[in-house]
Amino acid sequence: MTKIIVNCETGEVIEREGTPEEIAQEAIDQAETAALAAAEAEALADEEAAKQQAFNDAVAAAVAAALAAQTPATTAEPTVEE
Amino acid sequence: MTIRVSPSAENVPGVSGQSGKYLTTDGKSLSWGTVAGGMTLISEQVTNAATSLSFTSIAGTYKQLYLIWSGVFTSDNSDFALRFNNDSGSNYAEAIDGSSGSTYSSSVAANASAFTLVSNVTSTNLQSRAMGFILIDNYASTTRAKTFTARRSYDRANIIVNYYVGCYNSTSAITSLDIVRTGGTGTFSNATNTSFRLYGIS
Repeated sequence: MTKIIVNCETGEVIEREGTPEEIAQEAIDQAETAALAAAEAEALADEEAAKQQAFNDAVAAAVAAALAAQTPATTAEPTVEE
Repeated sequence: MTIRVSPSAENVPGVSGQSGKYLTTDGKSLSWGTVAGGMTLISEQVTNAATSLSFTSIAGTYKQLYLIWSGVFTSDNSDFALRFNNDSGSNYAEAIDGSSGSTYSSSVAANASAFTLVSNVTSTNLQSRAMGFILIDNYASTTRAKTFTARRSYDRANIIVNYYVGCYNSTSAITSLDIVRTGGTGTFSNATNTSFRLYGIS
């Protein structure tokens, strides 16, 4: 880890290696970022799954409605009397 | 109607050495005043394979700080975020809205950084690289939290454009702005002809 540090009073720019504390903080930050990304990915996956399920339900309902409309009404068979 | 003011007229101060100043009055006599306010470029930096960038020792002589950047990209899928005073505590209360791809969302959060400045942007297209600005009000106060507003964009497979309003919950004067790596092991750089520019607003 190389730190670029600009002193705004003097304009001096220095580069130095990260201190042990800074390196430890970076490890903490990376773990938090990874956890956050995993949570976001899970939430996104849940949202996508919910959308897909809603779509599937809507298609199923539409198909059922269409089939119901095409099926002729059932009429009673005439009774033959001898 | 034409008004002529002669330097030799009674009570009108001479003009020698007063270039750029304005003529004013205290109700009794005239004098030259210096135009106040404006933006001062504190520092401009062009990064090249950096793992962090800190603007330190920022003088408390301005009313606001304004950081603006463009053309920022990463070497891989690493993440870089902006902090004040290198504070990694959850002291950044924020309301965020914007879009990720075609999905719009809004949220509030208490974060460990002001926001992610660039994340996994390896595209060579200038429009895809990170760009944005942040305006920090009353940054030098030692008694008040600091309100900020920002916009950012970058494209990591889908374009992310966000608007932030936030409050840095600290009464310490902000003396440094720190861009730190929060994910991955990569670096960030500026594209040709782009930079980070830090202004002080009087």
